[in-house]
Amino acid sequence: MKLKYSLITRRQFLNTLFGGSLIAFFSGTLFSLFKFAFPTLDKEPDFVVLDKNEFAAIPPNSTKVFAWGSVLGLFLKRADGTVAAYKGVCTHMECNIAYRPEEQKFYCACHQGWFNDQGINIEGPPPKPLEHFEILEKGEKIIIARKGAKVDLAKV
Amino acid sequence: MNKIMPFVIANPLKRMKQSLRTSSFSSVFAKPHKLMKQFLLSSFLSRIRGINIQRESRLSSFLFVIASVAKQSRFLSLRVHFLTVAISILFYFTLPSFAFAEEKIPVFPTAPVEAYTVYGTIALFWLGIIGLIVIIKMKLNEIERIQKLGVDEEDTNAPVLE
Amino acid sequence: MIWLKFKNWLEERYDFAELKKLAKSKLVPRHRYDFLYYTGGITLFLFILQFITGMVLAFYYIPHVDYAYESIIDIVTKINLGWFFRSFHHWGAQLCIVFVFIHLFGTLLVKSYRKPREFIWVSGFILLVISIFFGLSGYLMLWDERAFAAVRVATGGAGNLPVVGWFIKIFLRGGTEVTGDTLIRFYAFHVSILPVLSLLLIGLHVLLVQYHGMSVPVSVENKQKTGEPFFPNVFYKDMMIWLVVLGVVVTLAVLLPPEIGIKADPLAPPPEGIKPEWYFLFMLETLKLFPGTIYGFNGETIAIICVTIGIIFFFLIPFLDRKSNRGQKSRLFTIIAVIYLIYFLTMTLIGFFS
Repeated sequence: MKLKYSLITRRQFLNTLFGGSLIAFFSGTLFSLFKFAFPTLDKEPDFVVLDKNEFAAIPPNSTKVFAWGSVLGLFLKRADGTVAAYKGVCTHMECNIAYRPEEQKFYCACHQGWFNDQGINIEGPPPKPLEHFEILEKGEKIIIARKGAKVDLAKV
Repeated sequence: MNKIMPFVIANPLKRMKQSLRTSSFSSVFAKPHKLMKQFLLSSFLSRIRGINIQRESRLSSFLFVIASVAKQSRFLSLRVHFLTVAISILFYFTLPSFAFAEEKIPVFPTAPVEAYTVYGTIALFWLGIIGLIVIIKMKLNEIERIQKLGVDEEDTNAPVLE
Repeated sequence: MIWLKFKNWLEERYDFAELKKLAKSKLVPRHRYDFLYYTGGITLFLFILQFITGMVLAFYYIPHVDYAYESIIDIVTKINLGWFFRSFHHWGAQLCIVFVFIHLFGTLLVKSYRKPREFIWVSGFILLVISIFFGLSGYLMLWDERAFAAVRVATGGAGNLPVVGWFIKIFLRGGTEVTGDTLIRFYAFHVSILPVLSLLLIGLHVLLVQYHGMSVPVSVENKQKTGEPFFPNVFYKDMMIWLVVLGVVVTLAVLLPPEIGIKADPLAPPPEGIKPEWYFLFMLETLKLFPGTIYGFNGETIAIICVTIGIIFFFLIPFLDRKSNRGQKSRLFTIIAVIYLIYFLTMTLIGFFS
């Protein structure tokens, strides 16, 4: 069926073709530019290895700081002697938290949030409990692992 | 030789030439000119090939040591002379370890899959450019066609719709 | 449809009629030498590319003497496509300076500097100096032994100018020797001072070209065809050429990435066969021609003075070329231009292959 009139004008056709291919070409170019400009995000590690002698020997009801990638990690020895490892970052606005031994709670100074010694948010704005890590032992080393991460003990 | 820009040439080379001139142990270097030619040829080749500075600086410093030893040894005993030659040979082989490690920094992706991806991307890129140029040429042809017809001139007497 | 709506929205607020009339009236002359009109645009395009790639590279570069070299290695090995953008920036710079020289000698040969366009020449000349300084300062950012030696020569050579030489040398180096202070100073030049200056001067340069219109060489003044409108004809031709230039830079960047040499050591001797960047070679070869002492005067100072006189003469050509200012053919200055061009090419080639 031959049409009497063209559905689009020559001008529309050319302009659309031109604009479309310009967009296609430059989106590819700009994509590579953005890939360069955006930094490779700081991935958090799957696990970190700590020295047992340093960390297991801390007095009860105290914490010791360790590096979880570039983020704060807190190794806690509670008053009853049990140990736990938490990410020392408040779940509200990611401020660093500190342990208050007198009250046996974690305190976030930014908005006055409180977590108990199980890491559960009890007071203030924090919406979630602290992220806690698994603690594994191998000889003279303590391994703090992300929950669910597979740690090959033989290779550590 | 260039006296204006002294560090365009290597300093060891100049010193070596001077020491060779004053050396009395000409028998040690039977043909100093040949050595000079060899050295200049190798440095010229290195300039063409690219930079293999390490080897040339090693060689030049080695030759310098030998030359200075040859110059000094008329004052030293034969034993000390051979000892210094032996040490200089050791120096020649160990000097690179004192210098910067000669590993080339990869300025281009090394893994073959990445290299081929890059080459393929360049090919696609050129296809894109050629496509764009073709389309622009089409647009230009159309514009020139209507310009020749004269229909693109704005009609100043055209009544305006209020 | 959306585009039309947007256009209407703008036109309800801003009067584009005058601008449109101005744009439509801009005509580009057509004659035997009109290919030269595109050289300026190519240079501008390359400048813009350098700005863009330079800006993103500045996210990762650390301008401190202890970290500069390592940060570039990080860019090249760790960052996504870092090697590509560094290589692109390098080749963009090389091509930009090539086209600056092509543009320069093009305008010199067809005498578009003549009345009334003297200020275009003046601003263009300053832009040439800025471009070369861009090249030198950018080259030092790598802080490898080649760059270190090159900057030492260049600033040391500038220091041989009589009277002002010492002051210029101290100002450029940030001290008596090339140190980490020099690196930071050159970084400030490269990233802040020179971009602002070049933007202002390019703006002035382009504005003056719009004001005066395109110059037509005297010899073809009577043989012109009707000019073609800039919008859209020459604009699209420009775009095609710019796309090809982009493709060339990308290809060069991918196929010939620049090496990273050894980190600079202020106490080590310079590497064998060290040479400055190619756009300095003609000056180096000229200086090499002069002997150490001439009638008791320091040969190097005399050499620098001669080179400076040559450059100042070059700068003053529009004001010295009386015949061109009257609109007549000026054969003498064509010959002078050809001599400058051949001298520049020959000395560069000699420096390259020696």
